[in-house]
Amino acid sequence: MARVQLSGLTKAYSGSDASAVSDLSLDIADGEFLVLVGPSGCGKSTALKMIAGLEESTSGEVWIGDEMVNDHAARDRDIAMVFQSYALYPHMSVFDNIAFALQIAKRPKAEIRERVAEVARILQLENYLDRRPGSLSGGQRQRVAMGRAIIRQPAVFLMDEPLSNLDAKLRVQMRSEIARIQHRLKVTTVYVTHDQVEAMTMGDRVALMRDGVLQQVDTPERIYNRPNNTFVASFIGSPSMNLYHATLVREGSGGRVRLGDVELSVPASVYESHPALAQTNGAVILGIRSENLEDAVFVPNHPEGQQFTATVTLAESLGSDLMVHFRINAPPAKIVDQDLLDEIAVGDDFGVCVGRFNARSAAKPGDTVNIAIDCSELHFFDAENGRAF
Amino acid sequence: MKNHLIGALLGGCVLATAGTMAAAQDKVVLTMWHGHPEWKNAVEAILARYEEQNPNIDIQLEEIPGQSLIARLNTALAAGEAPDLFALRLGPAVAAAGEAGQIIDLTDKVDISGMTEAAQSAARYDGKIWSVPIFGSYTVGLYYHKEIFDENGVTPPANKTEFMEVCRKLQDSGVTPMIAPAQDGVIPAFLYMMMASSVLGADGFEEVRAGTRRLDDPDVVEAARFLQDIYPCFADGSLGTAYTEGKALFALEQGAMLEGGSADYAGFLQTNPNIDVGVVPFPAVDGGTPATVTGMQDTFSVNSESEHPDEAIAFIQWMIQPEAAQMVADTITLSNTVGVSPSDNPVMKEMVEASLSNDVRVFYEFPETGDVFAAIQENAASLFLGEITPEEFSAKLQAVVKPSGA
Amino acid sequence: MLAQSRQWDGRGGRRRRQSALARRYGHLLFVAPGFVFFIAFMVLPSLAGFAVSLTNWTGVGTDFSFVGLDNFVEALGSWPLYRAAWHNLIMFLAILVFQHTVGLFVAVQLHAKPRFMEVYRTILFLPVIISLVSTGFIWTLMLSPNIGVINALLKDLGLGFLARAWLSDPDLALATVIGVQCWNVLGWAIIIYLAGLQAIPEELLQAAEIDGATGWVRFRRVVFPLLSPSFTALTVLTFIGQFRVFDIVYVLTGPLGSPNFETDVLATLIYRSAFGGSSIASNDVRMSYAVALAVIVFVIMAIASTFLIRVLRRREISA
Ligand SMILES: Nc1ncnc2c1ncn2[C@@H]1O[C@H](COP(=O)(O)OP(=O)(O)OP(=O)(O)O)[C@@H](O)[C@H]1O
Ligand SMILES: [Mg+2]
Repeated sequence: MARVQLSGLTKAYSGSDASAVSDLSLDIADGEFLVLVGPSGCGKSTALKMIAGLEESTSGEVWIGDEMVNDHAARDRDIAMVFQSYALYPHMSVFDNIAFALQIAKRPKAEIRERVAEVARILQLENYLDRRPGSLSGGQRQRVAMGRAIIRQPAVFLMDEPLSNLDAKLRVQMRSEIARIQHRLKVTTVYVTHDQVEAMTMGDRVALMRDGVLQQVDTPERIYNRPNNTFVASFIGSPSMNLYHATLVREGSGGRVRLGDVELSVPASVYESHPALAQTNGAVILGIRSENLEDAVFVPNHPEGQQFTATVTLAESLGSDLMVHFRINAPPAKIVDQDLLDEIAVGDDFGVCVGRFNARSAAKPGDTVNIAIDCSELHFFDAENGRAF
Repeated sequence: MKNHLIGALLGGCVLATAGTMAAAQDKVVLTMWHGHPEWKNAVEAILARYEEQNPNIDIQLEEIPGQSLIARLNTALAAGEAPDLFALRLGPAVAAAGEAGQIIDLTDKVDISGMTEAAQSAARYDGKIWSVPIFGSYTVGLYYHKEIFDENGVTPPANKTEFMEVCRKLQDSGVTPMIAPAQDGVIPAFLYMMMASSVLGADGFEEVRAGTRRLDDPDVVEAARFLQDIYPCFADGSLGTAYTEGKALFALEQGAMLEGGSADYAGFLQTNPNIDVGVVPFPAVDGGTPATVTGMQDTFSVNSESEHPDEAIAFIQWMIQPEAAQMVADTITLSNTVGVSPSDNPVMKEMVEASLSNDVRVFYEFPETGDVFAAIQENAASLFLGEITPEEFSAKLQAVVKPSGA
Repeated sequence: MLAQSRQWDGRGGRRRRQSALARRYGHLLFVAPGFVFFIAFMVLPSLAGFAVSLTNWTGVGTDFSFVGLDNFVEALGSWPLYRAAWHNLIMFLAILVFQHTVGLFVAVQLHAKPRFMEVYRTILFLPVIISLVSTGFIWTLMLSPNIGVINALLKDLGLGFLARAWLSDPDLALATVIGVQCWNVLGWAIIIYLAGLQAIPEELLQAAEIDGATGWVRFRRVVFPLLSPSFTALTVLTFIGQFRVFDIVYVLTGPLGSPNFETDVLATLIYRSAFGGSSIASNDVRMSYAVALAVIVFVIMAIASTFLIRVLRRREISA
């Protein structure tokens, strides 16, 4: 069990001028489950491999426990890794796959048998020990990969998108299984994913990266509710946060925000929780989570300044909710990222806004509906650099 | 044959302009396969002369090195795609092709009365003429470098004792006595035929064919012993040296002597224009008469599927007339036409002289002794290496003789 | 559902039958072109060849008679067949060992992407693309005790005592032919093993590294077992290649497998039986006998390579 510290970790692959990871500093507590998320190509695997010692860092330090391990080979770092592809040895039985590290370390046969049996029991693999990976299902393979990691009783688990090869249902099941095992073994874990649901549900903390740069590291709640910048805001949460260019004007203890042809009042509580807003007068980026938009029919007595009307362009029922898309006459703030295709611009001056309405809402395309917005949950970002106030 | 022409025409349509097409159609094209790339210039000169005199004929010569030629020819004959003119190995092969109707019976079509006795008898097989030796005949004797002999104070040996003496002297002064490329066993086979002939003579050979004399008779075994005894005189690596490489080595004076035929001299000259060699009959087994052996060079036949048999036959007839025969004698080898001798080739003259005393026909042109050559090829190496005795060797040869009397 | 199918039935019984036929045999249509060629150029000639082997046809003319299995009986009772097969076997084993050691070793070195890798690779693969005939010819010249550079080089290096009559010394000739072939086939071994190495996922090797296996242990426990498809392919290709080797032997040591048949192989034996040992004279050529030899070799090789593939495949799976 060990604390893992990264300081100023940087990796530039030879042959490319941009760094795959730049100046990454993280302090992962002993026994913590840290999730590393970010869009494809942002450097998650690279960061993980540098911790594992499979990839040399260009600069910066990796500490495991009290030791600076930069010069330690992978096998000497007391880590175990679960690969995205599982990387099971296809020519060995499940038993040998799990036992391989112990066999290499020349542990006594009896001990190996015992420990494999123990791991197999935890992972419910007892009936498959003689099989070869080729004849296992995806979930079983995934568990063998886990088994290979936990049998070593390492100080740190590194997992690189271990669930990405599984179907949705199995993924949900394995998600909780991994969380359960980690909880039980209390091994410091760095878990890479680009699935934000995994990030939100599994981690003690979530670290979000973009283009090799760490954007925010925080608990799942805080990263959702208090995103550092528009990128974090739009990456975390589904559907993405609605982001528009808007104008904020101070008015008394509160304020007014102008969103296209709609004016909304900003309650004083918002200014209290975001003191930096007080200095702002003018252009901002306004962020609205879909769950803060509701068909006004279901919110009687909603304050007058926190309602507006819009024309529905699309209504999708999720069963529990009705996702309603409507036009907003304000320029959307674009987050440049090929992964986030749900940001659809309608002309230059119009944006699509998505609201999560009560499932019983009657809104249908073409309707003009009255929409209630919870203005105490509005997010404001600097219009120039996208940083949160 | 048709296929050939169609192929040629198709190729022509694509490649040739209309003008050359017309020209090509006017001419009679005869195709001819030939196994001696080393005679290229000489043969082309002869063909050019013929085409000059017969402007309507275009002979297309393809040269295919000997061994490949046989494989290709067998296949082509079976497939009906052989050329108009080609040479089979003289002997049973020619007769078989004739009886199979693959070649034209030339008996009444070609007049060979102007050829030497030996050539006439070689051309006739059971009274029929299936093929004609148009490129002369070859006599095989012993070539030696005059300069090397002079420098070492030796003279051409006439018998085994002298040969071994010459061999020793040359070796003492660091000269390789004899080039003997034995890889394919051809050279050892010729050596043996000459050695055996020195004992047998032409008459004795007839007796072997008839079955009244045997190759394992004690006096003939001495020939095999001679063959075994001269092995140490061979150049290094002789057992692995190919025939062509050996000829080049001799031409480049890498050894003092080489068993060789009249047809080889042109090749030597091509490799080394300054070569100065003499030729004598091969030394005799002690007590015998130094002998040469003579065989017919490529005996040409006419494809029975030829589109132009008359033209092909006319060409063969022309080849044995004195004019062409003279060119053969001057540039390739000895002529089969009576009265034609090399005009300005002292080495060929020496060869003719060498063959005057004791010349025997090569064994493989006769059905009775046809397989002896192959038996020598197969067994010479083990004789050289001492794995078998001369007696055993001779017995193996006698075993494949099919005496006509029996 | 029922109604639907009945309707379908009534409307076009014939069409349905056709489509069932097409479903069952339709695939044949796709293999037909290849199959026709296979029949025309492989099966028919083989059958014709077998027919020839039952006669005493010499190869020239049309004079022959049926002799039954005489050629086979004679061939199977003849010493040269076994001698030649023995030489093929030695060549196969020697070259096999060479490929699986030196070839694999070089492939592993190249896989590590050393500097100038392209240069090495080109040099090592060059012999493969040079025709065997040229290869043989070049080596005959180099190995010649009279004019060859190899002995000259040895002498210049002060190693003159190593100079040999490489191709004509009965004790060395086979080894020399094997050596030349090794030079020639090394490129294949490298390419096949390199392909195998490249097919091993990087993550698998990283997993082994994390598991503590490095260097030789990792090679033996992880890399080599994963190369077993390459091993199989190379072994089978070498087997087939070495039991039908001809060109290079013929060019190096002639139709008689000189010296004294020390390098005689099945193909030269067959060739000699079919076309004779020299261009000058060979009357004991018997095409039918040669074809019988070829049929024997074909049958034995077919059985042996099937067996070999079976064994190696099983090893692959259980490795
Ligand atoms: N071996 C390499 N050589 C050069 N560049 C590389 C190498 N491996 C990764 N990169 C680059 O480094 C960047 C980060 O790659 P990395 O694999 O860490 O991304 P990732 O966040 O794991 O992405 P994904 O979610 O798709 O797995 C990418 O731009 C990638 O192209
Ligand atoms: Mg990755």
